Amino acid sequence: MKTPITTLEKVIFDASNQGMMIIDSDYHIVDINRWLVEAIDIGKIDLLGHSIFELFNFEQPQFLRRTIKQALESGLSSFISSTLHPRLFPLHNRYQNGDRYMEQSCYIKPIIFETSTYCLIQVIDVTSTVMRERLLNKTSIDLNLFKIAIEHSTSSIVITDNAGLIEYVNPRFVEIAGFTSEDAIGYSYFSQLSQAHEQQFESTIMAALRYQESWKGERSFVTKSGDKYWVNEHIYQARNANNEPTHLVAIQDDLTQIKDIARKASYQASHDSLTGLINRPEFDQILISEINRAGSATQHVLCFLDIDQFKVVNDTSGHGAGDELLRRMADIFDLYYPKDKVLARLGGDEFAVILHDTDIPQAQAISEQLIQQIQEFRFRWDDSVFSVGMSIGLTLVTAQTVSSIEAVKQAENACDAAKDMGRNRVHVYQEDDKTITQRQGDTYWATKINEALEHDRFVLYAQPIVPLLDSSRSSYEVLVRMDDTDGSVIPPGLFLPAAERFNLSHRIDRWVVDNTVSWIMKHRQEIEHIDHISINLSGLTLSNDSFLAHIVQVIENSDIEASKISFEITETAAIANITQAKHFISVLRKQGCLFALDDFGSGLSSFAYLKNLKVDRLKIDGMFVKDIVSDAIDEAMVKSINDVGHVMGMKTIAEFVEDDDIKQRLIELGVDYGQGYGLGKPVPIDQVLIVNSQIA
Amino acid sequence: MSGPVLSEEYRDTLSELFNIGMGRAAQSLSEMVDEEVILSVPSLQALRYVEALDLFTNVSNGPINAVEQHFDGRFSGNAIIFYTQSSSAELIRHIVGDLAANESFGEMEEEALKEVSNIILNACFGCLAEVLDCELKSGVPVIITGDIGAVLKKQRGNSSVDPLVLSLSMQFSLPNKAIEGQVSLIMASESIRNLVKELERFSSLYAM
Repeated sequence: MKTPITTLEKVIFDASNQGMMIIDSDYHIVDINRWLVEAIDIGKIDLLGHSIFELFNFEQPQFLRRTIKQALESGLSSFISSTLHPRLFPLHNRYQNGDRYMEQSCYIKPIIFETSTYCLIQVIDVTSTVMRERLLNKTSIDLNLFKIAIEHSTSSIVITDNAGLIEYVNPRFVEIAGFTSEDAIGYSYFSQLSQAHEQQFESTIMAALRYQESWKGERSFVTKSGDKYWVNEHIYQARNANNEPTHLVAIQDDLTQIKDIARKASYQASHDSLTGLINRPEFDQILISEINRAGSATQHVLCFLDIDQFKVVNDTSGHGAGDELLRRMADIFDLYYPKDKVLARLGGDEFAVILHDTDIPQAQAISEQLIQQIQEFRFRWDDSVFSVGMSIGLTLVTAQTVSSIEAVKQAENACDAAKDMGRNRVHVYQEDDKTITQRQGDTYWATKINEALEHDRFVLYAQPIVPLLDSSRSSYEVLVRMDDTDGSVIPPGLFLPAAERFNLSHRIDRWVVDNTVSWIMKHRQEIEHIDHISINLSGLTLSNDSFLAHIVQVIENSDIEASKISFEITETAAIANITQAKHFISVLRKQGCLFALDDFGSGLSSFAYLKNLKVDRLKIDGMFVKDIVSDAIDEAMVKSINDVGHVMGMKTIAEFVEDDDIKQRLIELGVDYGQGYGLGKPVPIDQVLIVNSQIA
Repeated sequence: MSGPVLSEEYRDTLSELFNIGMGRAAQSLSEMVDEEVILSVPSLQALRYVEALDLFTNVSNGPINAVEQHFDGRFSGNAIIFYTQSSSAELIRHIVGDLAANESFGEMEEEALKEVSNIILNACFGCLAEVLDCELKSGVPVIITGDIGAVLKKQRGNSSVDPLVLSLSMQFSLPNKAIEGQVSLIMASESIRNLVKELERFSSLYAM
């Protein structure tokens, strides 16, 4: 085989640092240079004179054959890229582990020697380029992913050069700081964006980074519009291959939000979610610090407030109503007490207030005024209207106060005493206060009532119920009093709540029923001018079956007309025990007794209840009556209760008729009866006989 | 030269020839990428150099990627096939696949562009030589990047005093993409005259 290459060119041919191969029109290798022989790694002798299509297994032999033919027959040069034809020839790169195939680009050129046309195939090793490109490509894909991560990070990210001049800020930074990339890039991260007093951080941070990879801490920045915000900041130092610092990467997490969350969490832990007032643990903490801070002249008053009607509202109108009542009360207290007070909801319907630098008389005056205000307040829910009462206990908080627990206990005991004494009042705790200390011994009232029952120390009083519209007969409501051992008379407001608390009310009721019936029997002749005698029954009594049986028996045995006896039950008690109340009423009405619904309008006054309670008389709560002359709403209330009562076939009775003006207005409204100081005060029951004999 | 450089008749003939060449190139490319590639030459113009420069600047103002290949025979000159940078990136992305994930146009992409352009130009040269039955050799393709004006200015420096430009706009139709490219044959007026002569000869043969 004849080689077209002369001797000098042959030397150059073999010295070339790219592959060269000359093939003839039959695709046989005519000559091949040393570089390519080494890369093919088959002996040169085995290559020469062989067709490349026999020697190598090409992926697209048609394509290569056509390209070579183009060169040989048409004189056209071609380029075959490694991209579109990877590893065209099975060549090894002996400089790279030997096992790696060589990435190559090839040129196919026609060459004419003497009269023959040959094809020169040039092979260029592009392995390193391909590797670099692949790496670059991978890097750029990674970079793209990192870019997405950084641009959507919820942390602010700032990259600066090693001197702290900003080179990049991510969108979150722009969002929080308000500086755009243009505003920030090129400016100092340490001096431009921080507050003056934060600039000292630069030297601190740079000093720290000299010894460690990163710095972290909390510091504040200012937004473009001048607002301060706090961040938790990490600053990392980037170093080059020579371990020289090149960049700083700062990552900021906005603490303002976290602080807000923490503040919210601590608010929730220390506040009552219903009223927004501070809660008991927080109140205790404050009270403890008040006590600890107290000097010799310090004098605060701790008030313990209890809402009386809360349970009724809750039980009859649901928790929604109860919650709303508590919120309204909280608002009233908050507005009422001075700004520097500490007001808390301790739980349920119990509130507490610390009045700073106040003495007991002042606190008493303040509390009494509040009670008055609350008494005038009406809580409306759906179509119900409730009047609300409250009891307040007071105690002093001074340097001598033993503990916060003790102080709250004292005020609470004082409040209980206020409740026992008939509610809607203020009671001041005193260490020698017999009422409280004995009550704390817990059986004072129980003992007292039991003693009174045993020694028959209860007495009956009576107050007239006078017809307003005609001259029919009057009735009398019997009231109970207790004769104290010292000869004084204890009003029912003092012992009846305690009786209810100690479950003794049915025994008092029984005493009253028995004694009233005996009295009627005894004076049967003298009371013919009296329409009937009315007896109050407590709520608990209504659900006492043996008591009901007892009454039935007493009346049957007495041989008196049952219609001479009427029973008064409060609206609140009736509704709280509606099933028992209905049963109680129906049994005794069959006997011939009369019934009156007491204090109507004070509790919830849903007229719908009236349909369920078959009573003869409706006693309009005195609360509406006493101001009827001056208060249009009260007048409307009385009128509507009166009208509804009449429609349902009931007679109506107005309580608290204190003067003639009220009486006159009631007559105008058509109310059937009146009761009150203006018509007759309660008197010992026997005086009823005297009065009547006098009239007679 | 006065009047049109090429008569309308010859322009049509040349267009036809280039279309045949493009058809062959498309076939090669389709085989290579295993996907249907269609190439067409909607128009061909013969222009003076300055006119061509104006035209190209209007068509694509800004950086381009070009592949240049010298051709030599009965007529000779430089053939340049050029693309805007975005269309060349798009073309290569479609042909190569995932390789170029971003906008960057690296050496591998340049090589691919060089090969694709070489196939197109060789197919055109081959077709001209075959049909006109004349010899037409080509040199190896070279990649050129830069501003269109700078690219063509360099061409002018390499060629004779008053070169003429045969300009063909070319369209790649890939399965869901159409990409524009521009093919220019820059020839000395003498070469153009020789080309015209060849066309006359071809036409007379055809006429018989």
